[in-house]
Amino acid sequence: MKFAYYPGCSLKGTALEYEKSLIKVCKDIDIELLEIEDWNCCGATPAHQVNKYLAIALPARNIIKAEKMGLSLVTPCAACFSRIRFASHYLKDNRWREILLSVLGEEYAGNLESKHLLQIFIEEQIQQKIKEKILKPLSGLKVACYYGCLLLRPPEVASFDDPEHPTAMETLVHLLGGEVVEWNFYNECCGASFALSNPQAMENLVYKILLDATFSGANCFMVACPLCHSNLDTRQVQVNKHFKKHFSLPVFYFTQLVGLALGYPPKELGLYSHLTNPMGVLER
Amino acid sequence: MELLFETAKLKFTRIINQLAENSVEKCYLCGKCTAGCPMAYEMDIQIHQIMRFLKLGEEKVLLKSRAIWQCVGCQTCSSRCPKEVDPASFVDALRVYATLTKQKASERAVEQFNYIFLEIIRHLGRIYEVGLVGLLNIFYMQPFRDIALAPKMVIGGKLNFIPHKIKGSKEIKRIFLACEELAQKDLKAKKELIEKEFQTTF
Amino acid sequence: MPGIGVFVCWCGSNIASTVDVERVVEEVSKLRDVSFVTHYKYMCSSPGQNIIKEAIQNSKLEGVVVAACSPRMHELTFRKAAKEAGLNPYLLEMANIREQCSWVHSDKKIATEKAIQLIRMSVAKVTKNLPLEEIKVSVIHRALVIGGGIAGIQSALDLAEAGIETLLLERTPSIGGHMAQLDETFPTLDCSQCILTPKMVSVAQNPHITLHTYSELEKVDGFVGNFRVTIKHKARFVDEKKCTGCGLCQQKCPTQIPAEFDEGIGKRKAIYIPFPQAVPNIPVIDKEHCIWFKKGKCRVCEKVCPAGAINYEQQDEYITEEVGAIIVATGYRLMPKNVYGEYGYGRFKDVINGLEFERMLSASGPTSGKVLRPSDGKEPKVVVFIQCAGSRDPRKGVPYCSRICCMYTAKHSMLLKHKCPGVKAIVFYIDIRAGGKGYEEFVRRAEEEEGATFIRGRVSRIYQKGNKLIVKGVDTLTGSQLEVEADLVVLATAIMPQEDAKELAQKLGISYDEYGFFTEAHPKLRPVETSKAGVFLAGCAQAPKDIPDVVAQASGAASKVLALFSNKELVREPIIAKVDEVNCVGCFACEKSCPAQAITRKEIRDKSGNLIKEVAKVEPGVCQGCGACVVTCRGGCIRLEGFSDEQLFAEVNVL
Repeated sequence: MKFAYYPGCSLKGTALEYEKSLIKVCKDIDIELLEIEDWNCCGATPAHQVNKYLAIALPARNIIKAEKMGLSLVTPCAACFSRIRFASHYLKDNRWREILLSVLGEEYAGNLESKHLLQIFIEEQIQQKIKEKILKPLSGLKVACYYGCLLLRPPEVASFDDPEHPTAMETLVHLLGGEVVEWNFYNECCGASFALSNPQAMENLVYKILLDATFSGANCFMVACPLCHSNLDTRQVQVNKHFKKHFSLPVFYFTQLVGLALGYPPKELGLYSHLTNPMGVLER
Repeated sequence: MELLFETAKLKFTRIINQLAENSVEKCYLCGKCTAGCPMAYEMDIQIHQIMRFLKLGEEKVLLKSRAIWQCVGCQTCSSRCPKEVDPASFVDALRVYATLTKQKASERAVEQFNYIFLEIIRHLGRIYEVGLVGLLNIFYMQPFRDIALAPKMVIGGKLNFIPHKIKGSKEIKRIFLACEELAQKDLKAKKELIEKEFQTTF
Repeated sequence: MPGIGVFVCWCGSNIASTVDVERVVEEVSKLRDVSFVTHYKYMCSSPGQNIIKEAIQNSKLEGVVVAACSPRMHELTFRKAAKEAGLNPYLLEMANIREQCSWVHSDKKIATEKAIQLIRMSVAKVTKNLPLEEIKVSVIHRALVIGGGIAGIQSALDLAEAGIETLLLERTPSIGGHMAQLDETFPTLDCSQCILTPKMVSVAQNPHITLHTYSELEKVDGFVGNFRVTIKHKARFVDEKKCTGCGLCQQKCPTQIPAEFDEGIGKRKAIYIPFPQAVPNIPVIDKEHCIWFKKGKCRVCEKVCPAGAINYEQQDEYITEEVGAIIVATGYRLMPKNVYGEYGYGRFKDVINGLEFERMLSASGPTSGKVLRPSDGKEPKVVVFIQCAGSRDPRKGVPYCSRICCMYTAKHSMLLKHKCPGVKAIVFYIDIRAGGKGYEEFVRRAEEEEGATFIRGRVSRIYQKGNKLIVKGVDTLTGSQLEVEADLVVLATAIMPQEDAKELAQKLGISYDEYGFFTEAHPKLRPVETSKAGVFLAGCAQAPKDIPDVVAQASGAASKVLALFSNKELVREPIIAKVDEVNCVGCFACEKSCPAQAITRKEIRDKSGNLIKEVAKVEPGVCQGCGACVVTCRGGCIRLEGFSDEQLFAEVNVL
């Protein structure tokens, strides 16, 4: 399987372990990723709050590049996934395609299919490939699968799994031999960009998530979004301080867990870059 | 609070409807949006009340509120609304309107965040995380916020101190300019049309 | 030369203010075929009709044109008048110079010209009209009622009281419907089964009612007054004539399955009657779960039956009956469980719907009238009721209001209080709809006297925390999010038509809306009739409603059937299609195009009895006069009486 790969800004910076792990793992399971040349930021949250045209034009530049490559687009970041799908959704309308033509100077045929990396991983043939190559099943890991918001909502745009009761990550965990934990906050917001602009609110939301996961017996998280990872991983210390708790739940990207099951050592998957130490859980 | 109902105020409702590409009239104020909103505890006006004020055309109340800047964009309301009113897009529309008409937000943190984020993209084409945090801290007048996280992140290789400028950065600048112009033109056209409509019907 | 009389009406100022009536009369009198013209202020009034009658007799008119309002208003009136004066009523046409002229134009000159043209056209048509005789169709005085709930029961009893032979068809093993599942009914809090079972027993004992339970409608042929219905009698595997209803078989049967009557909360055996007061009191073997049918072992019921009534060899039986009218009373079902993922309905055991709650409240129910949490069987302390779970939701549910839920939830909160005095009832509502007699007072009583808490707002999400359910709702009136820790949640799910309502409608040939509710002939004025003559509606199959309205509608449908049966013969308009048998080649394209299934095949034989050809024949009683066959016929062999090609071309040519 070949895809036009849109990493998103954070994968090159604070979420570099996500990229590290996904590159290794994708190669093993025959997912070929061709990085889009000179891609630009999708605009993330600020663009659609400030200017609708910008919110469509910024992802559109990448959409057109992917279309020219003749491949479907895949991205590992949930926010980029959401913005690209929003833009594609709007661009189905002729009116918006004309506006885009005037802004970007380029035409878009309207046919690009865009997916999130997790969607690819749970496709039948990829699941099969993963199964074949498992060396170390993830026994002992009690995973709270955390989806966050933009992977699932709005359902008409994301078209990925049941927004109220998703099962994609659980399927993956079962495949890898881990244990899935039944919990409630799997699709409640982590606070996203409020980590910088409204940190108190973010702490509140992260606290609720950590509390429910711990209460349900989980010992780690599985995520598919760099911002969710950042909020759950880097902010545990301040949440502990603020709420006088002792949470210590490592946060894994799903590609890292696949990598571990495939036998890669933690270092190669960037696990040492995490702020909440995953080693304790992994020893078991 | 005392409100005066004026038909002229409904022009604002119409503009926001058009910016959101939806109809607030569909909303029957069941409150399911507020019931699931993660930020409801902090908002001065709840999301269903924002829809109510919007139906009455209360521009001042809405643009002065902190609530429209406290929405985190989780789309929980939009995915559960039985009438497909999409409250999240209405909050976006209100912010867009505030930005286009240069009305200052009462909750400045998010506005400043948006501004800095987009400025960085305008210049570089991609986000420069270290720069974002640095500039934000200066704007917020908290230069040492999150400094405790820095050492671990540097060791983990997560912080790129050198910004990356994409080759097409000129193109990005052009896009920004074009979009700004389009948005202003569009708002002006919409306002004129609604003005005419209100003159003939009322 | 034929003499046509033209009568121009002023209709007060409705026509006269835009059409110059006197000028019209002047112009029309110049027409060649017209031998008499006059005008009057209100042609439809008694003196107006008399003018027409006198003119017919005195001037020996051969045809009449009344230029007035739409034929839908008074064609019948004028035709009757013509008949009384001795003129065949189908030699009368109306020129619509009101709805199609004076009401839609403002320029007097143009309107008058148009009125003259319209009258010229009608005159030209009438010269080609042929006298037609009304069609008489015999009516079979037997009725079929489909559905054995309160609607079907009421209709059947009303018909039987009038002496009409009635067949009552019910697909579950017993009549009673959803009303038999209820505990108490609003607003009187009467015990539901106590008021229903006397009616059920009356049905069983009434000599005019033939009960067909565990039976379904297979096919319907025919037309009003003469329906031929095929009924499938599903095999009970119990001989109805031998069974004494002793119940031993049910006691001894080893298999236990969730009971449909108890909405899955209680259990039943593989051989079962749905509830103790079932009518008829004859059990049924559920083939899907019976050990003998699945694995070839057991047969305990057969061994213990003292009457030897068990018969595993029984087959489904098909019976054909002839009836004159059909009443459809198939009722409703509740919205299925999986629609609202956010409420966890189907995943969390303690989230249930209204009917499941009723079964718990019922003293003869699976929990003997105790309200218990399905998960652990303990009594709840806090019960949350959620209104509009499925209704008023164009996105995931249905956009309409299910009408009865506000009332039954208020009832539930009160019954809960009566059974478990220490329990708190919380109701999340959006609007309270209580528009019946004593209904508003009933709802207020729930809050004011029985201590229920009403919160205005919808619930966003429910999740499980330990053994409690956390309900995340909102109080829109104070403008705050509201969380409730509940032990049990009851959803007032939407009322929907039966799952196979659309198939049934197609079998019967009646129309239905996008949800599957059967469509009434006119939303305001004809609530119990359908677009198909002879088929009537009663109950929730037409739209959600409460029991008083169901009973009223059921009696209304029965009265329509009685009106239909009040004559030995049915008179129908002769505006129907007629086949020219000489030229018809028997391609039967018309048969396929007829929406009323009115075309049959007729054999044409010579004097020795040899078959020459088969031609199409239009059944006069069924044909609706739509003209589809006329257009389809490639040879032009079908004409529509009253609208033949000659008549229509005459109209057009004179323009």
